[in-house]
Amino acid sequence: MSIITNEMLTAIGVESNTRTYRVDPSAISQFVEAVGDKNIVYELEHIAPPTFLRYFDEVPPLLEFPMPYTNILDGGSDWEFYEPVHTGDEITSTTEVTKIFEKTGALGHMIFVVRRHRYNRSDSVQIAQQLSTTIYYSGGPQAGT
Amino acid sequence: MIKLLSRDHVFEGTTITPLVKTPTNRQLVQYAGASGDYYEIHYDQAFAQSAGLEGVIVHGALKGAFLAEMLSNWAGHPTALRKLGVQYRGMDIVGKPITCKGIVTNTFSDNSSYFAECDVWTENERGQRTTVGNAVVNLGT
Repeated sequence: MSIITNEMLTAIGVESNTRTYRVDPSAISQFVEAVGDKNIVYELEHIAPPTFLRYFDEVPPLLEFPMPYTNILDGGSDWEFYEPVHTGDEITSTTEVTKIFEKTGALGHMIFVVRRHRYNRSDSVQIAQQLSTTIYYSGGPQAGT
Repeated sequence: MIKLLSRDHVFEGTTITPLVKTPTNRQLVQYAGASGDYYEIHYDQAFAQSAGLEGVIVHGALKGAFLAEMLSNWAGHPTALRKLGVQYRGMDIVGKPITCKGIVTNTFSDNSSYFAECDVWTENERGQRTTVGNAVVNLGT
């Protein structure tokens, strides 16, 4: 039986969670160091690695509706990169839910929420887009396998 | 010296230079801080187990960052990466090697540039694909 509510469905397509940040050089260097990426281009050209933009997202995402499960997993991302992120850029990310579906698997009952994140520079140029999938799950005896 | 990949060396079936990473607890904490993902399943063993997991697991997005690093190294510059899709199919345990791999599945051009479409994935030490995905890399004019 589906536990996807009308409240969840009405959130689809509604823009939420707008955040604006200025890219600090130390944030890029911390990200590069955490990934263990030795590429010198980030320092030489004052740019960020492609997936640095995760830094601009609320993780786990702020919920747009009540969710019965508190267990959360990252299901994946589909990125499109248009322009590099430079130090000093002011970037605004906006998020909207684009799809909600459910499955049953090793982690029990799971609700998948797909969100589109748009990243725009202060000159209104869109520099990237991410479709992220977050899995909210009930937990089950085979979890973690 | 930054050396860009030449499209003359990229064909369907070309293998992307693999990248091996072995994340430590320290690295997961570093990544939590650098990405803002402080969800406890990535550094708190008891919390992870209470969430039904074997133990502390590697951030999916860190595996995505590893794949982006592999593709950027191969292409010669991170801005060559135009698309990256990743699905986290299996969990990776801290302290175990993760091997990033990829292969070119197609090449095409538009009015100004050449591109390579690639399948990419991560493997755990048992050879199981814990991340699967695809990418588009710009090979220049």
